[in-house]
Amino acid sequence: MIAAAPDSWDTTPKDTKFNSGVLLLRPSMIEYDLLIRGVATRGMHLPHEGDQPFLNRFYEYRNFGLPSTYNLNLVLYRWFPVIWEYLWPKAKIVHFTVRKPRPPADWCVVNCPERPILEWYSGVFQEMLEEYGFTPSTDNADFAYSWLDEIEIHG
Amino acid sequence: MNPFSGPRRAYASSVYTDTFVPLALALGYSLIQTNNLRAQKADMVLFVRQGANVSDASLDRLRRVGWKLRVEDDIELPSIDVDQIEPWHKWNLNKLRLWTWTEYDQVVFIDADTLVKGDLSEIWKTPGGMSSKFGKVNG
Repeated sequence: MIAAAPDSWDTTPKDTKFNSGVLLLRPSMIEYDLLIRGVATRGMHLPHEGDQPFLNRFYEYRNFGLPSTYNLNLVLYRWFPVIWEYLWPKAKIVHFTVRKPRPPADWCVVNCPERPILEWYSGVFQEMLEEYGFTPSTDNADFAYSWLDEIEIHG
Repeated sequence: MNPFSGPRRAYASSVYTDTFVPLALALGYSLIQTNNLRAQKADMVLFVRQGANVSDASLDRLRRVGWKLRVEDDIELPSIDVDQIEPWHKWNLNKLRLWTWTEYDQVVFIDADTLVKGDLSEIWKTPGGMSSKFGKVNG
């Protein structure tokens, strides 16, 4: 058994399938062995897929539903704004599905519809940098903070 | 295992490539800002793909925001050819490794492209991940 929240798409705010981005589970080697056998079973995992379609097949009749507030899907912001407005104050986890808070630079060119939420992300990120003193001047080249600037450049 | 020690819980996330590092920093920060992990008796544990070759400086930053790091090899799945998986999902079958973290009774996995915005403590009481004496007898 696991627990997960419903997935959302531009065509439906509440899919019958769950989104595997937030999962409550109970570790167990017996369960792990079943999962490993499951993923190798014909039809359970298609070659191009990640974990989500497989987990939805494996746990199709054995998952508990978490409220949508545990995995508030950014797709709702544009396509189901009334539902988004209802869920946002109650949201516990916000999932940046349709726009990733990271490069490439065109992630929110000019004015993507989700810009206010991405700005919220940017604010939290900036606060984190300041809290820990992760300033660009002390950063190594591999630390991908530079995308933060792109909000101003492309925003 | 001491039956009186209480549940062992973990919030978990993953860094599959080094572009996930800033995301995991933000997620970790948002989690500790909004949740009392001590009261919830929960750890913060981050799976970092060994193959992502995340730098020591980045690993240090991840530790500083509170993540306990597990730098581990990819899951071995002989039937899976990762090169056929869509690039943005390429490494996420590693999520199955969470079931091997048996030092925890319950794990809440949260994708790194998220922020925590509210108190999550009720989630530990949700069916599906609850510890159960009977469940343990049956494995």
